[in-house]
Amino acid sequence: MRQQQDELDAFGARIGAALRRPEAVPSGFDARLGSALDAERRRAATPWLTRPRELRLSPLAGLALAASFAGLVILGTLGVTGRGAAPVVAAAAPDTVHLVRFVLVNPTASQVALVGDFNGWQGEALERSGDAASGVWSVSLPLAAGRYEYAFVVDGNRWIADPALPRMHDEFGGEHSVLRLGADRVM
Amino acid sequence: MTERPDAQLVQAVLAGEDDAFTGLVRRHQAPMFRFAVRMLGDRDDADDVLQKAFVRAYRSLAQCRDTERFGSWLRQIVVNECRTQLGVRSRRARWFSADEVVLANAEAPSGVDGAEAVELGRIEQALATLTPDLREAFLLKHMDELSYDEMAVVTGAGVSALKMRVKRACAQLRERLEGGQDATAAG
Repeated sequence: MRQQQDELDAFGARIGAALRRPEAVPSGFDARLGSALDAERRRAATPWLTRPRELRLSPLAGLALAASFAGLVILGTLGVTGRGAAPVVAAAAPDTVHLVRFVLVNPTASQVALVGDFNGWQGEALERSGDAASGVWSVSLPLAAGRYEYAFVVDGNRWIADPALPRMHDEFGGEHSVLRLGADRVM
Repeated sequence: MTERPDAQLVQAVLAGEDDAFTGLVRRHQAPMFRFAVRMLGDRDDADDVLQKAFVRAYRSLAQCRDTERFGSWLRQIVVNECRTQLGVRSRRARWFSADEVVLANAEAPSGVDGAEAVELGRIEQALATLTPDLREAFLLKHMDELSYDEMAVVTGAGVSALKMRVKRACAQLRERLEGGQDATAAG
């Protein structure tokens, strides 16, 4: 038994050594990262109050239903809504690009990403707002009218659909949310 | 000139010396990129993941409580970004490749001669057949040579679970790389 373990350890070490060969970081990596960091600095330098404001449109019922995990969508530059009512964006022009705020409440998460067809299912990091204990994570994205599928990814491996919106099952046994954003309302 | 340790660089960035972050990037980008490449099997995806990881690290640097362990903290972010990327792939059925044709056409790592590239390709092909949690544990243990305690911090998994994952990963890799051969023939 001990010998078997030693052999496995030796095997692992040999394979590990082979995998330790350097991988050259792609040319242009530093320049692209520099641009991304500049954008991040500009974003951070923008006072919160001068960033685009959003009004809450989506019900918070999911928050009550799932105390530790509640995703919801808050959107609109013009809209208003009542808690528990279907979200509506009021009086937006047909070509309006809505600013949609995606929010997940999860005090235990160490990171949260938003993935959806609007970003090619590439993780969009949510920022934690307020104190850490509140666990409020959010990100705002400009979206044109259309149908979107998305989910939250908690700590890199847990997918959570938004409880406030219709969900659909995917072919992998998981589920994600469907956001239908009309010219003037969430459908 | 003596390079400043991570803790000093982190403190400098937090004090407003943005250029100090470049020192952190240069120090850590190569091993983190190698981990991402081995984990994802795709240099472009690894590039994306590492870009996001560094931006996230920059944005959240104040949350790095133990500045002397910046590398471990950054590795947590990279591991989580890789998990997110793999989750996206599995959802979108763009799973990296156990496809031999794709692997056969994969770009050889720079600086690796033909025989080494073939051997590395075989290992990466076998690595690709492991589940992500086994692959992650194997790479952290045998490629990056972390202790189990360090791995527990990075992955959030328990030490006993990690030992089991590494053992299973070794056994499966050995079967795939040396299957049918007598164990003593290894090495």
